[in-house]
Amino acid sequence: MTAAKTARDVQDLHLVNLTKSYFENVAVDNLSLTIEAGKFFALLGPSGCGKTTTLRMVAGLEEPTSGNIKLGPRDITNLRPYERQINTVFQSYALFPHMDIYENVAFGLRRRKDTTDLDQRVHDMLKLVELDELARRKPSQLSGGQQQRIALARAIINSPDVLLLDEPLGALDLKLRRQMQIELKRIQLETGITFVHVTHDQEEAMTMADTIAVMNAGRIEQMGAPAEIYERPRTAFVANFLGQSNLFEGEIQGPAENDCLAVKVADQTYRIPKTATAQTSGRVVFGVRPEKMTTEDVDKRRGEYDNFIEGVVLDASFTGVSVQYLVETPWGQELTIFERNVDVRELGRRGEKVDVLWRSKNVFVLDPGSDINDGLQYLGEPVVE
Amino acid sequence: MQLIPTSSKAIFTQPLRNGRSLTPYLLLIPGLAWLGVFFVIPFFSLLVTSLMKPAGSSVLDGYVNALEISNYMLALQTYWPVFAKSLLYAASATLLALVIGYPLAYHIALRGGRWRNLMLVLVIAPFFASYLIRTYAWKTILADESFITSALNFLNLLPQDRILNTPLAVIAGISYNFLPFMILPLYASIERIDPRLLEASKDLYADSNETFRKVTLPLSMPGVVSGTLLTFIPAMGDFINASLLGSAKDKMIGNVIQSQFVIVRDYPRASALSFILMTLILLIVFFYIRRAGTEDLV
Repeated sequence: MTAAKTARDVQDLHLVNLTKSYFENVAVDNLSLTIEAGKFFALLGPSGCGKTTTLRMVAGLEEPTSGNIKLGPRDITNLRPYERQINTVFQSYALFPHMDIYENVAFGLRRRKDTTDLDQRVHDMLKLVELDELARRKPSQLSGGQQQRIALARAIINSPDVLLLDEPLGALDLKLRRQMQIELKRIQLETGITFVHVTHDQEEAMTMADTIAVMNAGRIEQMGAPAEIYERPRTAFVANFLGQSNLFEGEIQGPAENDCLAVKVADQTYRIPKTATAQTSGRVVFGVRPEKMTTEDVDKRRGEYDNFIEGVVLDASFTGVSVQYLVETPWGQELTIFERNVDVRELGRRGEKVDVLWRSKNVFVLDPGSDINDGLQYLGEPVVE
Repeated sequence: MQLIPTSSKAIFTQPLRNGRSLTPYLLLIPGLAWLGVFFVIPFFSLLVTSLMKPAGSSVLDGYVNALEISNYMLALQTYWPVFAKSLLYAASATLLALVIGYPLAYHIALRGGRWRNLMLVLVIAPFFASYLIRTYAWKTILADESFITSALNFLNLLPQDRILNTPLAVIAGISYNFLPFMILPLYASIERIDPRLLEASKDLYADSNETFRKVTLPLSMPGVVSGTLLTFIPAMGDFINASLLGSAKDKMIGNVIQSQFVIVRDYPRASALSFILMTLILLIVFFYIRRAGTEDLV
């Protein structure tokens, strides 16, 4: 099947100005993006952000209100689902309950009358997902994880140009989910098929994807490699939805030493790297990830960092590998700090005064006009919908 | 729990547990009593009657208990063509009801939308009128001077130039009368099919036609089996349609049994015919279910 893959060159998937509205509700709003062939692409967003609708339009199960879908140079917008070289792994798996595992996996090939070496190919595919011994079982006799893998096998046996995965791990427990993440990544690399993975679980997206597109309210907020969008989020939504962030709003004062800009927040001055923003004056929103901050006794190590806040510990929780602090700034903002448990030391006590320290090179700057509370509502959202 | 002394616990829980385990059996009693009085006793009384022989030379002399197996032989010998005809009529009517009912049930279940409940009410609406009245109405609808008959005659579609008093009328009448029994189980099983399975089928290169043959139809088989059984079984024993809509030549086995019981008063023969009919239906149902393999379906 790898041979079949290289023989036909795989095509990039293009979504051009794709819009889907239901009456006055816009589910997907003028979305344009290119998904590179052979890559693992994740569409990440909270429930209701339009990611599943986008996926269903690519599959042909939903008709776009306007816009186009192209596979390479070919426009597939108006093709029926069965006319597209695209297969889906459904969230509910949707295995045919009246057929055994073997027939489920053979379904696509039989419909396409592509039955040369059918038996061999089905068994090879079942071996790939390590379930060959269950070929004659019915789907209802399989566990959730096994059904999930059969759903995957049933889709990729057709060597589609694009494989769509709709929250495929949503119904699995945590341990199995971790295991399947590795499995999915392995299969993607082995087959070279373009995977488009829809999920609301940011960790899942970051573990597996080459490229992540963060979606919110029918639009793409930011797209890029996982590390890139994590370290350099451009919008408050991305900063708050993908991991956690401490965001500050301030006024640029002017240049400072070491290629920095001085920014006034409340009545304190902080430094942000000049390279992080095109702005040279006015209001600016910047942020620091909780793990890039550290706490220290007041006035003890201020010299080693170029930014500090003297705050009050509201809460400290010990998790083993790290300590999570909640510190209140003089202007009443709550900061979250994840401090690695490198040296054994006493936990900060509630009400105690501490320095919160960070280096300006770890600061990211958001697009002008960002609302620092955007995306905060999804914090602590349960992982399984 | 620990606060209660062990002795008193034993005293209080013992009768309670007994009472609880008896409840299901107590609840079964009304049903069992009903079945006993109205099914088991008549069943054996019918069996005994079917083996009786005449007490004298006249019907008025009545019958006495015996073991006349020949009643069955004679009944079969005389009436096997009527059994065959009944089978043919009932099977045709069932098939017709399936052909008419499936698309209707499919439409209500998958495309019904907000009209679904209204359409279901319309399906069972005929039940608000009595069976007999409805069949009489068909007598008018299919009469020789009726609009339908003249229209079909105009198109030269009727070989006998009429519908009433032909087998066609009997089959159409049976189909019509039992159609709701076909549609409702079909609807229930089609409605239960997960629409995502149909999407998965289309996603896996099956067009609408193949999706129907490979997914929808196999998954609705439980409805097809129960719908056809619910139509076929009463149709086999029906006599109203044949007596109102058919000619003397179109009598079904139900008509024979009825006349043997009520007019001829040959009770043993009528009982033997009933038993043969019952056995025939049981055999057909048994082989049909084995063939359809419903136990394999979800």
